[in-house]
Amino acid sequence: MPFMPAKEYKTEAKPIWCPGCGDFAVLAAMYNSFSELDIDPTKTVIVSGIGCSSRLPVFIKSYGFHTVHGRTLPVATGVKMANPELTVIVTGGDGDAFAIGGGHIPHAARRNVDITYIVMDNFIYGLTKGQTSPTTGSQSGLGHGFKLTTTSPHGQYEDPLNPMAMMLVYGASFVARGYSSKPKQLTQLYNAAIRHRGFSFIQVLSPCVVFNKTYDEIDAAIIPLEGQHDPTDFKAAMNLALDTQTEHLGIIYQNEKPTLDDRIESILAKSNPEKRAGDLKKIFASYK
Amino acid sequence: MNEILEQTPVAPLEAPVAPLDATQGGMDEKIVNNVIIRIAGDGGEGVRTTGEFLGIVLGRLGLEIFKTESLPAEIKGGPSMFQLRAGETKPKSQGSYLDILVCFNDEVYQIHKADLKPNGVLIYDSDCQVDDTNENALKFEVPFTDIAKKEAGGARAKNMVALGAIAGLLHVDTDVVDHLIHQKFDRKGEKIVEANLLGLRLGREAVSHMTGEVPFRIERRASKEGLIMGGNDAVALGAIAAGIGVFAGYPITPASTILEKLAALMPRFGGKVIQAEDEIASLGMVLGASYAGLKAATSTSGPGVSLMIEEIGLASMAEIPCVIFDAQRGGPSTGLPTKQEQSDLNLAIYGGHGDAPRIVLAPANIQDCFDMTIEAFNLSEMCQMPTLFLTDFYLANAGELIPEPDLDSYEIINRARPTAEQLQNYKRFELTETGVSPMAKPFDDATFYIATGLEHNERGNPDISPAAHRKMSDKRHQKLQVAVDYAERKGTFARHYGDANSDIGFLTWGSTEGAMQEAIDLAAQQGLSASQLHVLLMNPLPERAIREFLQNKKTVVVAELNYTGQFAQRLRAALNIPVDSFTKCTGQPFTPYELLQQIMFLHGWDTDKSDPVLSQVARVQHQRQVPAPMPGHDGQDEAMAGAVAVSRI
Repeated sequence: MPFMPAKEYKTEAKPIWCPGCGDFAVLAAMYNSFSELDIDPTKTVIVSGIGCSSRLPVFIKSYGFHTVHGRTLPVATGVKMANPELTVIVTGGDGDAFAIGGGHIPHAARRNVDITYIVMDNFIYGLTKGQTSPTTGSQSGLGHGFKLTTTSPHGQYEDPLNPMAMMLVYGASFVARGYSSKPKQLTQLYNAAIRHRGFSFIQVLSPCVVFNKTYDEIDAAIIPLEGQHDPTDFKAAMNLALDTQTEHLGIIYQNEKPTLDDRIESILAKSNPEKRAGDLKKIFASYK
Repeated sequence: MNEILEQTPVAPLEAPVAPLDATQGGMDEKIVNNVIIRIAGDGGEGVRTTGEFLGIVLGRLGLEIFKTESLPAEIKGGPSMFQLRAGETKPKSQGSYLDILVCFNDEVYQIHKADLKPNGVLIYDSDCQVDDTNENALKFEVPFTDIAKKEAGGARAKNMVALGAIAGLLHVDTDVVDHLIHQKFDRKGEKIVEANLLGLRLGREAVSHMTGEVPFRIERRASKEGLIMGGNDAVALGAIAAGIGVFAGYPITPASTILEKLAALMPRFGGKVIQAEDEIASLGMVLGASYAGLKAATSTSGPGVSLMIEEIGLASMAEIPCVIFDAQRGGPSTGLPTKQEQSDLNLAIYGGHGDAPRIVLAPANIQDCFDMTIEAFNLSEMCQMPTLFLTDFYLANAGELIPEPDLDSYEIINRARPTAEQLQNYKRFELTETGVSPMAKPFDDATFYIATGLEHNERGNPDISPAAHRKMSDKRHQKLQVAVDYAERKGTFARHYGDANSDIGFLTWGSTEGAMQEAIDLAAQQGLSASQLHVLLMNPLPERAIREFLQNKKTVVVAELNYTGQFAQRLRAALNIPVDSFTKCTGQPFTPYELLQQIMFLHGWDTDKSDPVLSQVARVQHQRQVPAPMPGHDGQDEAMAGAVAVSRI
């Protein structure tokens, strides 16, 4: 018997997304995952940035922190440091994650902060109405979607970045890809990512129906990973990530290593209990 | 708040200049335990070691020390200096002109020569091209480099040769110096100890024939109780005393040692420290940690605050307590990383888009760095607002003796938390009388809410309606009054000095307090009155204290270290009061001399009248005194003269 049925995680606020937006499925899968994992909303914090997808915390019962553009990972790191017993989930879009927030990703990954980072990737800036994002497909044939955006009216001449390969190289300990049109698998990926101790990254292909409708393109590119892939094999994972013609869906890579909390706790444990009681007077004495 | 904390007695009017008879006094009449020494050399020449060791020795002899440093921006090389002012009572500032100047090379001699009193003591290495600037000074050539290289085992011994020479000239007890060497180097082995002791001895011997002429002497006094501490350490320990749980920071001059100190100490208190990837991440982590229920802070300098500005707005909007320590340096941009300036006030008070209220505090001295850090956390927790704490390069690198804090005497305030009843129908941003609404935290409460940078309703849900924006703007700004009320209750956020009846008033903030106080004391000796209100709460302003101070003033001057007179502008804009602005923007602190000059000017003294007195004030009070114009008055120091500006609205 789950702690709460999935629908109980809905808040009174109605999602502001356009009909047909992939983010509805992303949210629904999260309700299901929360229910399946018995997530206690009072012991969970969802941190989001700015963009269509970053409105998500408003629609799901839990503590939430809707921050500024691109700074979700540092804020989530602070939340987790303050209380390691919290379940911390970070949501954002491709612009929030890979453009303005790109500088924080390697550091969250190398620290192996025990948080789950869900990036709803629609290859476009939707909230600001159709500008190029770091994952917008290019004229050279890489990526998905329109090659002409409002900010690349003469053609998208920049190549998109490869989020999966990037995450692997940065040292993320869990890397997966899902698709909003495959909600059951998405729920399973959330479950695995939230259970994973360490920095979990999920790229969710979540098309924008208004400014970059890519359902058909993605439907043609996806191949679910079914048993034949060993997610602990880094080289195999890298090969999948570098296959830019195919969107492999599933857990690409997973490995256990000490989390940031583990590492900080080991430092705290080293200071003996007497010292940890923290006598400021003893410290004052060193200034005499 | 408006009580007179200290009032300087006005000295009886004497002849402004009372030249001492050249024959008066004998060779043994020396100035005891009152000296300003500057040691100048290139980075890596041992300037800092010489100065630090000398400071410790003088402290152990029972003297109070005021320490200042000027560093090159480079790791090694570039001119640097270390200045010590020693007295039997606590020096209020670094002083004006130097009694003793020690120069390790000609480059630094050229930089510092004009700062030596006309009849001061110049000790210089052989390559210095000593010129007329110091024609009346006592000049001693001591071949530090040669002695170190040829006799003391290498150029690195120069610092010990210099320490030996200075200690010798000042009649410092040899045992105290030798004892310190043992303390510092015994664990490194006998060879090292011997090498250092040799350097010391050679330095002493090199000046033994001169000590009789030097007009200063250090004598032992009863040792003073207290802690010798710099501003950054005081901030770090204050944060621990306030109960900090998480600290995130990114290295930057001159704030880095706050991060370093807390990284070393916080685990002992169960606290967590993280070095972030940049300043934006630092404050992001702090906001996350504070949202999750712990007191959290970051430290940086101006460039870092510039980067944090967007998140300061978020903290103000989402009402998240946090403390940002800003050790100011010269700006804008990379500016002068190792120089003194008070130019982040506008950034601290106004930085950011929208109306984002925040608390801004500025400590004046090392004691404040500890006490006011605790108040920074208190105000931030109380008002659920970001608090910026403006120290500066000078405070970060100063060293003072402060009494050991009595930890039980501090009030520690934590954020308002919801009651069980309030949690039943929880409104995170409930409109209350004070604007402050109880702050829940994840995990331990049977409720939840969204903190957001979007305009929101009482429950925290996004709401951009006209009513919501108006009411929530009111709420956020109302909380400033909570800070004002607290400041008035405490009475420690503005300090008076000088003659309260004087119709000349100075308003100061930050580390300029001491130099102003000293200038007021010097003026009082000439029968010139002046009073000072030193403001520590920069936003919201302690308006009542300022208006009361202004009541009997005909002239009010705001003295500060920036180009545009940022505090003066703030006072004009916020309180609509006419103030003059007296600014200095050279990367250096005010000297009491410069401020005394202002007081004289405001009393109507022309240069004919004031210059001789200024010379007298800055002169060595010794039979060798020579009436000579001070640097800066005969055009020698145009840079300084040009940097000080008075503007009137």
